[in-house]
Amino acid sequence: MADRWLGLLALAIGILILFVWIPLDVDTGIFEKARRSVVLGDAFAPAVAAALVAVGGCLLLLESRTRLSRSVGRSTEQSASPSPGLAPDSSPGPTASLTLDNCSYLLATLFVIAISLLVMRYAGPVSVSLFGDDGASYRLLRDTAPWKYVGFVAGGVMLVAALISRVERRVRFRFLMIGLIAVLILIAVYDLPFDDLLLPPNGDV
Amino acid sequence: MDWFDYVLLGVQAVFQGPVAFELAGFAIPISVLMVLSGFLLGILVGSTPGLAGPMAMAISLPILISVFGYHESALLPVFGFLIGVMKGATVGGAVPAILFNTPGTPDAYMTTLDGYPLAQRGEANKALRVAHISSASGDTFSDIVLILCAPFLAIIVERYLDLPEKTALLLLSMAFIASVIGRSAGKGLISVGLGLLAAYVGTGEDFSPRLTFGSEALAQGFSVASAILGVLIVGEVFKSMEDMRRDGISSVNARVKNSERRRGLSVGLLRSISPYIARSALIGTAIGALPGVGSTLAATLGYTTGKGRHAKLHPQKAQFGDGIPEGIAATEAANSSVSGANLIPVLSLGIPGNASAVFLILAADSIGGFNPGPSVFRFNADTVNPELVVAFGLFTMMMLANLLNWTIGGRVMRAMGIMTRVPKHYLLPVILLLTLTAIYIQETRLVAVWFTIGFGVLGYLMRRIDMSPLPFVIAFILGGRLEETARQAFSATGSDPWFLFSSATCIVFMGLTVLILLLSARSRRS
Amino acid sequence: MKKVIRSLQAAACAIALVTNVSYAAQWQPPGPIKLMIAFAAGGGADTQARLIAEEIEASSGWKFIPENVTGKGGLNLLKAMKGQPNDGSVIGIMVTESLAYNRLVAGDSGLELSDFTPLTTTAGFQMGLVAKTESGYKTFDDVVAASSGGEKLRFGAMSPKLADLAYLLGKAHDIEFNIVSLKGGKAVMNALNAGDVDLGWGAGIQGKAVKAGEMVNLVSGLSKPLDLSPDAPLLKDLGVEYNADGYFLFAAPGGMSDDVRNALADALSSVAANPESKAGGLIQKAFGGAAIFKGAELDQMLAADSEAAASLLKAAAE
Repeated sequence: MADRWLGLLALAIGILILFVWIPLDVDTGIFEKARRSVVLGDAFAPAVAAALVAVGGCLLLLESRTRLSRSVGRSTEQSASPSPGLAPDSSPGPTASLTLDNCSYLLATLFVIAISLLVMRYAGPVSVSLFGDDGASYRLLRDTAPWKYVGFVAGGVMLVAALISRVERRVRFRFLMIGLIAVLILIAVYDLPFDDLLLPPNGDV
Repeated sequence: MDWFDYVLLGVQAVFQGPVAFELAGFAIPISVLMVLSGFLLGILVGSTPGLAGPMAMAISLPILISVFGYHESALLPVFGFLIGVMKGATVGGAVPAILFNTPGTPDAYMTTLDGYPLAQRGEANKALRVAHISSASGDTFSDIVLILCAPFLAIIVERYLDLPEKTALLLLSMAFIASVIGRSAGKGLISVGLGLLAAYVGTGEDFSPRLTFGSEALAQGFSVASAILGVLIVGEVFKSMEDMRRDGISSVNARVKNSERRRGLSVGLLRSISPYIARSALIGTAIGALPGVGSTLAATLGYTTGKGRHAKLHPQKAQFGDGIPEGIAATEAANSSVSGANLIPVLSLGIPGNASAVFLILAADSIGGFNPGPSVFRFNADTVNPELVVAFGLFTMMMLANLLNWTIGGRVMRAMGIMTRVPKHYLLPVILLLTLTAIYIQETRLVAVWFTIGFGVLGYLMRRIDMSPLPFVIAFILGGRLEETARQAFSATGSDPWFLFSSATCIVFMGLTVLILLLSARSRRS
Repeated sequence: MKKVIRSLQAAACAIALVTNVSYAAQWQPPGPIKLMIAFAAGGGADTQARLIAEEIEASSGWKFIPENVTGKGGLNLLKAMKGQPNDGSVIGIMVTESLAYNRLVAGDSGLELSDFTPLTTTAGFQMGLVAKTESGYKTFDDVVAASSGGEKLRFGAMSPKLADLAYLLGKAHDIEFNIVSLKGGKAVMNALNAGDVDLGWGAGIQGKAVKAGEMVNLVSGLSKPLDLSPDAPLLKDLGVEYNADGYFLFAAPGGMSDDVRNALADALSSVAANPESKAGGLIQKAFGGAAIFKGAELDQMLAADSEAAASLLKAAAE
């Protein structure tokens, strides 16, 4: 059942890309005239890709129609297909589908990550304006200790600690320590030995 | 220069390259050191449930590139490390499968069927030794096939395939990948289509960037690293964290009885498992040479073939699944012999077949100076082809890794049981931070980190709806080449709209493409 | 402490390198200098930029942060650079073609020459029309003869400007080449070797193969003869009034003050022009030696290039 919805969705997305996005957002057509001959334009390859998505959707609709009638789960032993992930799958059921729980988990996780990245980006500039010399700008201090570490340490520790506490569903001091150790190791690996590498967010402030 | 000179140069490049340090008067070349450290790390991550070779490759790659820089001299040490990880993880995957009934890598699932019963009977040491010897044999065999086949295949491709045929061949391999990975050809095709689309954002021939919604951040397109690490690593991290959040953190506390005496395998046992090793090595190598068909299928086929054979020959004895060494041998030889053969399409065609190969291509792509594909195997007579030297250096390092595997691999592997206790939920957020940091350091723009998170979301969703992300990744890598080759073929044939059917070879390739898609769609239905 | 050491280093170098005194003494960058590189990591062009930066870091204590901003023939870099601070804390390396032809082709890009301050060129391209020796073409006349015999020739070009030149070269001799666009000089060499194209532009990368006798320069794409093949005719001799003269170019955001501009240009060009330095050595080896244009001369060159590009665009559209 889930596959049928997925098939419809893919079909719709493919058609939308093919007939709306590509015409609006690609400057050359599927074919172009250049130097008195015809060449493939920039819309050609994306059009093929969008068509593949749509065709894949149709194929999926066909597959799910016949699969529904014999909805027998194949055990892992019989199925010869490699698991999609890199790590062993915790037995993916034959009717794998996205639940509301999945979505809310994903949104919450993204929220945590977004906040951490924002902290990473702005902790440095904010601390320079609060504690730095008058008129100092973070951009010019982004390769000077200790300023260059402020954002990465604050954002990195927050990211690690917040994600661990989401898995364990509790908050503990040691999560912060794990985050701090991880951040320090990363600084030791990337920042100390290499003069021209910049930790986030110092490369493009 | 003939081929033998190139082989020599390749061997020299590894053993007489820059020296890392001196040990008791012997200079240890840096490439050798990198193979060794990669190999050890590989066994370590292979033995850790929840980590796998590709993840270790992904994490170490940016560090390696920072250490060795963007220069051709970086190629061999970096490749050496990655090859080491690849081989180490293959061996290590059997450890938790045998000791704790939890496969460290997906392809080690079949190993649990006979390995765990053996361990429960107190014969873990024997099981591990059988796994090691089978894995090392399969791996070595597969590498030899690679070294013998890849150059010739490349030369044939270079000599006989024109631009239209090359386009058709790329289409054929993508169709193949879409149909064989995962459970559904439809999902595979969607995955391929999305991968291509992502590759086409911002790129193109025209000077105004396409598909960018007018955004300047998108005009540079998505980097290979953002897309691959996002879908493969970040997506996996998201999913595993949710699984742990939902199911709770399980800790492995099973103690293994270890009453047996630690000693080597008897000649009689070796004799009885060797036919299974040989058969599975052949199956694994043949499967590995096809892009996209992974080691899990090889393991399954190796196991089931061995099972049938055993039941027929020895119906009165204990069978596969009861805990016999032959079962481990059949599985481990098959899944290990995939890794070498998988590099055949990479080196001769530039088409990656599995996640490990993807990271080798990513390494080559980031460092520059080595473009996996048929042009690597050009045996120039008067000038040295540096890419060919690298290729033979790569082969040398693979054999070196095999040597390490045979000599110290078994011992290291048997010491790794402890790794199953690593708290994974501490590890995953750290891996996420590491991945994002690595991406940033390579690209120095924060928006690339957001892109990686975005691809992570895609990877997560794909895993939830049981759509394999591997076709996406492979299509992303090949997308640019596919478009360029098609464009070139079209122009070169004087704008012939039927260029994909302009020769017999083309027609065969295109026919196969359609056939594969039709067949796989039909087989899923019936 | 680091700062103290750096200023000591700078002082020591200023004494040691008399030629560098002028820039090291008068101007110091306000902070780390972002070095945007329009080329993919690992290639000769990228290495050149990184080596030049390293050398200046060693001699003057300035600090560079290299960053690859690739794609669209340097236009992505130009777009990213436009509007950034022009105090010397941002510079970029591209080819002159990016600021001239490519900027004009992308008519709606909103990029003007005045949005940028050109600093200095480092090296030029030995642009030649290349064929494999075993193809049998020894001169361009052989190519014309083969084409008149009815053979459809494939011509590999790695940029739209070079494709235009290929088209005009054919047009001047009543030949219609099948022009195949390839990504980068290496791709042209591979395509020639694989037999995917019959002819192609090489920007100097063909040097080794030409010396070894595996390839031959049929035509010089420049306004002057090629160093390696002085007898190859110029485009001008073959009825094409445009040429593929081009250089690696350092540039900065527009409106930079002359002091800063000169200090940066002097620092960069003195390293590039010094064959004893690592960067200079690479330029010698890979691009046949330094070619330095800066200041007013460079401004004039880019203005002239832009004008020529506009008329080339028109000619190729006919």
